[in-house]
Amino acid sequence: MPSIVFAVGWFSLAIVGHIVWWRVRRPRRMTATLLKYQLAMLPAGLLVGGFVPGLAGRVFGDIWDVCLFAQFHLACALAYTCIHQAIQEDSPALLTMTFVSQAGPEGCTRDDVLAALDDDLMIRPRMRDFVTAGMIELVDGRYRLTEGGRKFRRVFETIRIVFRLPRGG
Amino acid sequence: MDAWKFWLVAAPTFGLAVDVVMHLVATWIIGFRNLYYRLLFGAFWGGLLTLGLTLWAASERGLPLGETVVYALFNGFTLLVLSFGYFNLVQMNLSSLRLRIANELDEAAEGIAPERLLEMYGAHQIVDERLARLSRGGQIESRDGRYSYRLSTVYLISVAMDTTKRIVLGRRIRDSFRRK
Repeated sequence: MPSIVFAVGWFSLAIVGHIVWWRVRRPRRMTATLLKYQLAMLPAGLLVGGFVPGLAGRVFGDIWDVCLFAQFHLACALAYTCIHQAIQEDSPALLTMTFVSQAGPEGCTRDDVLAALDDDLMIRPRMRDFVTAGMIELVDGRYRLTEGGRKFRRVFETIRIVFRLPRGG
Repeated sequence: MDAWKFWLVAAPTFGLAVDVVMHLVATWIIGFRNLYYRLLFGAFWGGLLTLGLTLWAASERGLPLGETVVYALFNGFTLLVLSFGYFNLVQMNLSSLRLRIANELDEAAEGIAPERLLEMYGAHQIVDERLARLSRGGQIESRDGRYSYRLSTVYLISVAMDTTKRIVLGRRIRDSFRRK
């Protein structure tokens, strides 16, 4: 039981630390930084729970308590990274829904939506982020896939085939 | 080594494994056409296994009822979080614009000019797709060429994401509109 309380408390603390960091100075590559930070918080939590006086011997009674903590922290870290990516770059569906809901009960037309949600908001930032992440590069005025981009595509193409998914986007 | 505690702790990981296996069963053997039914089918069996393993291991260890309930809730939450990550991985294939662009670039050996990409995947096309998808799914109302919101799942998600964005990044989704 103490390991459950510690796991929940430690992840909450990690989230508070991340919010303070982001509000003070947002990193350029947010997703990669967030993942590294959350992964670093795992051994840090093990050290705190295992060696800090008052916690040592109470939080982790055996190896399974350590596994419980690691499993919970990794699961929450990966899920939170997914949520963070969605708030970092508003998804087109959320942008559209928010614009429509802002229009009030009288609603809005397709042209109203298009006037507010243009390429500068929805497409160009994603292209810039894709370049920053090293997935594509601009060579002689044309975008090309990098080796990293090819690997990224191959992983998701395999998932698409295994789960019989249509090509979306 | 406490074998029962192993099952108690590892229940969500086994639950995720069953989730993935049953998702594949729903895809290849049962043949559900709807992607979300397949995911739900997997999640249902994963949840059942997690709960079953937790209750079984807790009773074998002789845990009191209160502790058993705490473990069941904790393991249920852990599985939910794991399944959410898995759902996002699968869902990315359907909704990621980056992936779509990566597919296009993979097929164009000489690369694609930025203007051409914008012609292919411009905001107009994405907005049209989203408006159609949200209307079809009953997430927004469409009448006489006007779109208005209704209390729906996507609306509630947008409110939750907006609140999270405000807390983490200090700005709201609608702030992007104001820049225009």
